[in-house]
Amino acid sequence: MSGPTPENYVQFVRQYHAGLRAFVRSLGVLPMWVDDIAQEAFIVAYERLDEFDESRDFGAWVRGIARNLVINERRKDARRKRILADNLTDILVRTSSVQEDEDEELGDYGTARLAALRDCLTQLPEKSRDLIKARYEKDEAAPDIADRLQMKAPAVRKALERVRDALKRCMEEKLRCVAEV
Amino acid sequence: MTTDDSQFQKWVGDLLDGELEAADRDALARLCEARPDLARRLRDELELAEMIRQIARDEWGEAAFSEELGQRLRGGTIGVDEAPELIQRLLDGDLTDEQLRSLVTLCWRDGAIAAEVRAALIQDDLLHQVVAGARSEAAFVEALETRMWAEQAEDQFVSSVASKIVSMTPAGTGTVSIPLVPVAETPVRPRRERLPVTSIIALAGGWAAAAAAVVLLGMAIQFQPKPGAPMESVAEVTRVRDDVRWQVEGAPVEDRYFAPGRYALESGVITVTFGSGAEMTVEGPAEFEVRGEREAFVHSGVAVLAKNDAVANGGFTLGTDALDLGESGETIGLVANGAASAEAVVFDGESEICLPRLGFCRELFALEPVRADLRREKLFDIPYNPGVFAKAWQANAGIQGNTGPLRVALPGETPLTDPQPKAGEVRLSVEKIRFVAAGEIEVDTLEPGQFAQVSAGDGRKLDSSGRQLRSYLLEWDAATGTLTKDGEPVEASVTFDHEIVGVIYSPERLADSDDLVGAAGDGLLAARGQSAPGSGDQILLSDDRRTVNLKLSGDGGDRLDHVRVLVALN
Repeated sequence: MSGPTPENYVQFVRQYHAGLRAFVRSLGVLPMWVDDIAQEAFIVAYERLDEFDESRDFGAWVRGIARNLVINERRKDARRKRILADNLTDILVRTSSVQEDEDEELGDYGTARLAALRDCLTQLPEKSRDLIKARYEKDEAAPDIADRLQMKAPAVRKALERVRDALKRCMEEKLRCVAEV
Repeated sequence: MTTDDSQFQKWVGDLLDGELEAADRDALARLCEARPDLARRLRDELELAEMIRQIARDEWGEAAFSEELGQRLRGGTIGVDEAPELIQRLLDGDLTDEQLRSLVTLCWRDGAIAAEVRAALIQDDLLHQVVAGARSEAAFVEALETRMWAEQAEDQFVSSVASKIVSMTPAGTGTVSIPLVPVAETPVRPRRERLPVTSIIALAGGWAAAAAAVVLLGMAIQFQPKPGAPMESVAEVTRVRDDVRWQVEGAPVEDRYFAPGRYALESGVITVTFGSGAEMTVEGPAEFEVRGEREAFVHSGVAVLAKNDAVANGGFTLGTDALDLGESGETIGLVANGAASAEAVVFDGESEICLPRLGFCRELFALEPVRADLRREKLFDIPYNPGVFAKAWQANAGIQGNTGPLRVALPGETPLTDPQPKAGEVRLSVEKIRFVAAGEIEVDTLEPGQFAQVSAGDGRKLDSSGRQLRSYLLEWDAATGTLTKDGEPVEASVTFDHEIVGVIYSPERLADSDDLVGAAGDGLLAARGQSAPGSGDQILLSDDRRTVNLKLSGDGGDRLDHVRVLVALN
């Protein structure tokens, strides 16, 4: 695909959104504002398309924009911030990478990761899948899930931790298989 | 630990506390020169201390700062093995402030933990994207397209909104979060026969007067329904516009009295006055609930709410399936689209908007339109389009009707944003929706019932003490003379719901009353008022003091261009 233009921009959005959103979250942005900031980054990038150097990686470029937007959150007063905590964002921003010549960013290949994760979800036992749906689809907190399932909140947290670990291992395994092929 | 190490630790502690003696400082410098590993540790400690200082200055406060620094200097009491538990709690949104500080300390101490946190957050977000339909690729792209359209639309209101910084706060941090009350779905009901159009004057003169009396008596007391009204009534229809039709079983008692319940307006425009003094104008088709004297819920349709005395009387809550509006904000416009979405704009004052199902609130500035979309789990800024509220706004503003080239300005359209009326029109704006004059206001003398030549002349003092007034401004571009047709005078009139208690057209009296109504005044308005005799412009105040009629001749000389009309709300 050639460089981004107003005409093909949506294709770039489709290709990079998953990784960008995950990247934004990884900087300590509150979950409810992740897409908001990712969209802002895409909008800023769109408005500055004429500044984009086509020899560069679009993902790294828009990540840099998003990182600046997150850094800007630090300057806002507490009520307007979209991040969990300044100090957490400080350290997470510091350890993040936006340059294509640095190590791969964790959120790179977001679309491939999404596909692998989706596949892994289907392999989960039904009870585990219900737990994940409750937490991520219905946004239920651990104590609420515990109430509904007549469990204790720590047990729910532990169960969620185990399911997440299993999904992570499954996803990484699938990505490794794809890379080997 | 060697002697050098322990001495180093002490000196660093003193240095960071600002208590290091000069001799010890030299000794520390020599030690660092001899021990590159200690020099590196010193750099790290200073860097960390500076970061913690900045953090402390920003939000933690001195106590947290000291605690963190002390912890770091003691070598830290938080174990690395606590990191997984803290990360899981971060993902679950269960971290306490103390746990968050511990996690941050661990991240600063060990870069691998920071990387682990980031990896966990990435994994968590990807999982959320896969599981939550509202975060699907399609939803994201669609939402992005909407934002791009909204933020790039050529709209003067969008520009002004864009300049405002949006503030958002999670629920439960001092903002208002109003729980939704589940309401059973109303089955589709057969249509009723069409009802005759009821005159607004008949209703306003009867029941509105009773409601106004209640306002005067103080809104803290329980609502006293009109004799004959059901005792459980908490609100009543006080004005109607157009052909009002209700659905069968969705109508108030006698098409007028509201007990708490759900109602379905098929067509027309009604104004409901609540016991608290709030007025909600609804344009059909609409479904809404009256939940009490201080609460309404709109399921679908267009509504404009004026809180009036309810602002100072326990507040008034207006909700929809998608959003709730907080206690502040005097006049609010709302478009509800069932469970899917709702749009809101505060016309007057500021408000708080809450999306209970998404668990957050944020501030809503005046004239900042937003759309809450539950399918996308988003709150969007949208272009300002007051036209959708035109009918409800006019009814809510107490403008009963108008004739001739007279146009009612929409909210947000003021002499400041739109300095000149359009060519050939007389523009009518609500200058100040409700105020109590601090003292006497001088108005021009105008006898009801007969056209009078407009000329600067006698005035009279309007005793307005304690009275709630509303101010309207009639204005047109007198200089161009575009109002006259073939030299014939042009007539325009407007009828108000409330009694006119004063008319002001002379420049001095206009200027004197500007501050009172928050008008821009002479500095921004090039020419105003009429002072020269013989201009030919005429004005009529009707016998019932509800209508102002203008006859604009367009003769030479200065011509009338502004008329301020004051009505009494009580």
